[in-house]
Amino acid sequence: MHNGFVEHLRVFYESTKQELFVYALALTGQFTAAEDAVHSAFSGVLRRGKTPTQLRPYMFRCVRNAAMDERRLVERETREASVFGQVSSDSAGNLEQLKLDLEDALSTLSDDERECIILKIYSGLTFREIAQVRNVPQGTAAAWYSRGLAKVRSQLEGYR
Amino acid sequence: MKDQERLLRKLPLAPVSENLDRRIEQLLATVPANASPNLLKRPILFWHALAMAAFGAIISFSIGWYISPESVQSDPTPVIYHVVNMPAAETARWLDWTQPPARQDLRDLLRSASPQLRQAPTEKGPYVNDAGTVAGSEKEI
Repeated sequence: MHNGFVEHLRVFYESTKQELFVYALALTGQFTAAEDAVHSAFSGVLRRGKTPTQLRPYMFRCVRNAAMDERRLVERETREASVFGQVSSDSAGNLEQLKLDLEDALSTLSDDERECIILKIYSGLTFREIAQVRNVPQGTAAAWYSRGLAKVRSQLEGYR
Repeated sequence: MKDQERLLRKLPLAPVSENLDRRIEQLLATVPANASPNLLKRPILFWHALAMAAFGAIISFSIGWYISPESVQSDPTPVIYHVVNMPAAETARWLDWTQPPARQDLRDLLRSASPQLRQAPTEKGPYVNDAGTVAGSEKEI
């Protein structure tokens, strides 16, 4: 294991931590569980000892596996953490309502659709990367995404 | 679709806590700068691989020696050697050297072998006839 490998991971973490964390949060629904998932993904890749060929999808997959393990431990009722942050007070009115409506809309989606939307929109993955993370064909990932987005659209018709 | 994507991106995302930053930093700091490669970190794997390679080399060498001409001359158990590639004339010579059970086996082998076994050699020596037995010269075949 080289210094370069650790440095590479450090840079990767700095540039992707938000996306990884939001993904883990969307899967676990708890802040501490999401933190644990990201941490365990990084310790996993450190144990592996070398950079995978495609680090980005690999790390998202690790986070997913760890988050699924965490999720089994978290009671369903306690999953309440939102992937969205605090809305700033100057624009609070509209955005606060949008946040509630969006959370509602996302909660009506299937797990696959919701996960795909989170990965595409909030984690910035391509369909090819999502397909690698989920181990499904690219077309399936794209179908989940468009179906999920159509459902969200129907629930947020009042917004522009 | 673009409108919906824009709408979904309007909201700020949950921030990453400093606690996670600290934990990851600690994790990365625990790896020594000059740590050895993964294989050497698990010596059992390394030594196992080495032992397997050595074992393989010994087995290959033994088989190679067993079927080599030097080996056959010092230890007349020629069955493997016959099967592999001994020329017809030399095979026939070996036929007299083997013990009765092996001899029958070799006769069967020779009988079913390709026509090149019955080709006459260029130098004077033993020959194999159609029955698979040894003849002293080409005329006897």
